[in-house]
Amino acid sequence: MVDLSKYSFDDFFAAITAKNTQLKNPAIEAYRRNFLWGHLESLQAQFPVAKIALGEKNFRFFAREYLFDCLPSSPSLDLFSSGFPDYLAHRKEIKDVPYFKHIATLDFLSTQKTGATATVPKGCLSIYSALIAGKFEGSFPAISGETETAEVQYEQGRSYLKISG
Amino acid sequence: MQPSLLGLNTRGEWMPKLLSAPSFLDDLPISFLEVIADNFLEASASSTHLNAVAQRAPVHLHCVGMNLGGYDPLDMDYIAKIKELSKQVNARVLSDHLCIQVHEGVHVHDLLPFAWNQDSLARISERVDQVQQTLGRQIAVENLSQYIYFADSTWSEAEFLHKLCEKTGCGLLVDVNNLVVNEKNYAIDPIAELDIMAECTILESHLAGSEKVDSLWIDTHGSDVEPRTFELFAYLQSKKSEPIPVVYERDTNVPPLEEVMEHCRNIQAQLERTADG
Repeated sequence: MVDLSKYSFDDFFAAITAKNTQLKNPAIEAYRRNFLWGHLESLQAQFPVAKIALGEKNFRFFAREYLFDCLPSSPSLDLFSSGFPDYLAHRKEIKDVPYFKHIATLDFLSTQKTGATATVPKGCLSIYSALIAGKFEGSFPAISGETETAEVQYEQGRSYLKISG
Repeated sequence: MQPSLLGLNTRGEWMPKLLSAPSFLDDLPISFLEVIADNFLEASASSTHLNAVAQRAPVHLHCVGMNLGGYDPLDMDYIAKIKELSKQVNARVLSDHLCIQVHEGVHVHDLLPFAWNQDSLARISERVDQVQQTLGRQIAVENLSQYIYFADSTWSEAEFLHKLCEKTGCGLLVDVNNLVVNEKNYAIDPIAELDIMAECTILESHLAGSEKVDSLWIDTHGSDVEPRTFELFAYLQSKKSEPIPVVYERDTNVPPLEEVMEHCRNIQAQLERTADG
């Protein structure tokens, strides 16, 4: 049994929600694992194409970073996930590929199905489709300076995104 | 004694299939459904299905957001939504966990333990009182599977729950699998715990499976109910004069619904054996 006589609930809680912790034991690991994997699974379910685009290992890295940098402040896992696209946009590791943010945005529209709209560069739409179809090859093109955008909305009652503009 | 009624912790995607069956639950080994209330608080296809289910069978609501053990203020918006849902589906039992789910504004989406002592009893009694008064009904509080115990606990979990029930009039949801997990991990005596819990009003019991992850048994709800769990449930039932409603929980490694129903048939057979003594 873990002796927490030296630690308070606050210490225990900090050990679960900190990016790194000095408190190491199987029980703390069990809670950290639950905390991490519960949210990772939710992000994976809500951003399936972003996961393909980033690759599983990279996706898990960024998802983990997101969780510990932006601790969930809502009971809703959907609300927690809503900040992920913008978070990706600010990661220095992928700053040269802004497409990832837009791909994640398209994912969020598709999985949430609320009818919300988003404006994305037109160039990423064909990439998104190709990723879904498993037909994307090569590297992501730069879209610096791309001005052509499209408004995208999940078509209620259907299974695709409606594009206008 | 009549055997316990068996219910199933029901995933949203199962409901259309259950609703479309010509005889609904009549040919199935379950007679009521339990759902995680938090998944049905916003209007959706799932909530429409739940309303349809509630017209045809009893529904139990199992919450994961009351934060009964917490230090943060109660989320009264959440409690109001639960109250509304409870009325909508005429919930037969409404429950949540003896745990902390939110701390300093951070929602962990997990069930965290705390020390069982006079201070926490005072804090949590007040919260349970407020929740029950707002809801206008009794709630059932569930025991936890725990992987950490705090040195400043002066009581066992069962002793704490017993005192909580005495102070607030709440009932218990006895998760027997959690007792088995605690027994395996830390040799917590489930019989001693059940002897104390049996003195309370028991509104429901949960049966589920656990799995070993690294060096700890974890309450994954991802496997069959093991014999020890049935044995302990039978012990608990032997101490009560009325059958305790039972819910089978299966949240991970989820097989097709037909296979889940086979597990329910096995559980129903066990419950009948328990009733026969």
